[in-house]
Amino acid sequence: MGRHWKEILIYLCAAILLIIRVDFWWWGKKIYPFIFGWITIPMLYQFLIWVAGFALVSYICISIWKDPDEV
Amino acid sequence: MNIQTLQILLIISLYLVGCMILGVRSYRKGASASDYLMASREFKFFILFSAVFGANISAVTLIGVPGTSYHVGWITWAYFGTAWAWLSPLLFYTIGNRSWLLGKKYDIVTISELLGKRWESKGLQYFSSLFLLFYLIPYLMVGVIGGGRTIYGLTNGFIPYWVGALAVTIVVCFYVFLGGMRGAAWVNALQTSIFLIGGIAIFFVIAYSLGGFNFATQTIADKYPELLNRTNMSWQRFFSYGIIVSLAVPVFPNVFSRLLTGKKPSELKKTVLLYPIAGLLIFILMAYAGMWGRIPIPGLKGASSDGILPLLLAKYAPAWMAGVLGAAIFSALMSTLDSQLIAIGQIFLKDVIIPIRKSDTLRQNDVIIGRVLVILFALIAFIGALIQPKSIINIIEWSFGGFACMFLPVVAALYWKRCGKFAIFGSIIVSQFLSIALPLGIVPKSILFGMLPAFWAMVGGFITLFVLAYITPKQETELSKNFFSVFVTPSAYKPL
Repeated sequence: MGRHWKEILIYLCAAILLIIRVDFWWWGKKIYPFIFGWITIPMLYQFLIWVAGFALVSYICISIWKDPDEV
Repeated sequence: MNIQTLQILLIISLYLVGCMILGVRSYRKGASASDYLMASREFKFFILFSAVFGANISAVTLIGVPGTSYHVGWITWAYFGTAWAWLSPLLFYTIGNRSWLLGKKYDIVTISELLGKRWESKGLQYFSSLFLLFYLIPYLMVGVIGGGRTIYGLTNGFIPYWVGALAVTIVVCFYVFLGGMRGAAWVNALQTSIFLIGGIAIFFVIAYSLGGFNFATQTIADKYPELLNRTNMSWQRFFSYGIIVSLAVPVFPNVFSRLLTGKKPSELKKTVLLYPIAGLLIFILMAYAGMWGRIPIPGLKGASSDGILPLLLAKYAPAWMAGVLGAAIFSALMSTLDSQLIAIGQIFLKDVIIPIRKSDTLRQNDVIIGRVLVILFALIAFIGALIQPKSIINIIEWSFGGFACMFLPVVAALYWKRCGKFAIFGSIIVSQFLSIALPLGIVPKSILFGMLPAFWAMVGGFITLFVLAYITPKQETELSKNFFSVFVTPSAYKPL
């Protein structure tokens, strides 16, 4: 796959992440912290959204973004 | 004055003196205007990261976020962290990489200059710079307001609000006046280190004082369950703000120009990699501290919750530590304020003065104009801050929305060969009209469906841009061909 398509795929993944970060199914529901006594499931879900976003940034930096003097 | 207040003031004074010393050391006798405004585009990774991150992290993070999470709970960190913290760095690549290449070739510094040069239109350059200044000036006040409130809160009202605001204004003015972009970036390196380390310290001091993470969060679950359940923030707001803030940051005038100051694209690449980690960390720390603050200090109404962090520090931290943590808050807000003052100087010089006098480059004595502008706008920010407008987060949201509407024109300039200047004019007019008219109620708020006004302003701008780009004639000039030829490098693919 060419760089152009890889970039488009990354922007598409970013758009999907922006949509699914809204966990409206848990929104407003009574949820108690249960992980280590202070982390709730929606907190963990939001953190995983960040992890996925960070993976996209890392992929761009490591595989796509080339310095003119690196090639 | 008691001994505790004296200790706090002593430490904050030491920090302010440190900033001024760095400002003096960064001074270059006979520096060119280009060096004053862009530090000769020679920053390496750590200074570049500090300059960009410092420009982005402001009073919003260390004052606005704890203040908001006091009312709405932990979701405040996700409000910023699960969109902005990774999407803005990703867009630094989208915008920053190509703009850096253009900046190197055409000496581009500002967003309006980029738009003006892309379409060879001084009208577009003036027009877009007008909107950038319109949103930048109220945002400028935020740092000064934050300084006043922090000193007032930490000293339990012993030092009046206006004295803290004045101290921040004078010190920032001093090091920016002397060192310009270089001075600000050097000071930002100190400030970024202080507010990241200080933020971690604030978090642990508050958590420890309230009986630990578990006890504090369980107490919130029992007494204020709405802070865990997210009933005080709608999901529509959460969704739309995530998009707005992420798209706005790369086109903040103060962030955009700093993206172009790296010595090589690889310096920006390293910055982009570290950004999401530092961004998430600082927002998590501040959001939990603000939410837990509701336990010992209940009952703060509206914007008064912006003072929760200084109030907590005054209550729980030893005086010397409260001073260190006060310096962390000062660092965050001053690092943004200095970048905004420089950005205003850049816009006036590059987008107003140079086009008016019909020259292409900066002159040696433009440094003097830049320095006068720094003092003038610092004074305006101070006077504006004395009015003490609404909650910091409200000012920011409005400015963010206005900047976010400039995102699409910038992307079109860099990627869309087919797009003409009339499409850009149209997009800016429609999006900025909606951005101002919707909050004022000129356009009925019923069309918002719970989203923030800027979201619909961006949608309106996008539709206008797309339609006008196809119904207006394609403009392919020699300059636009040369413009896009810059991207035919290993680091950028062909335009559409």
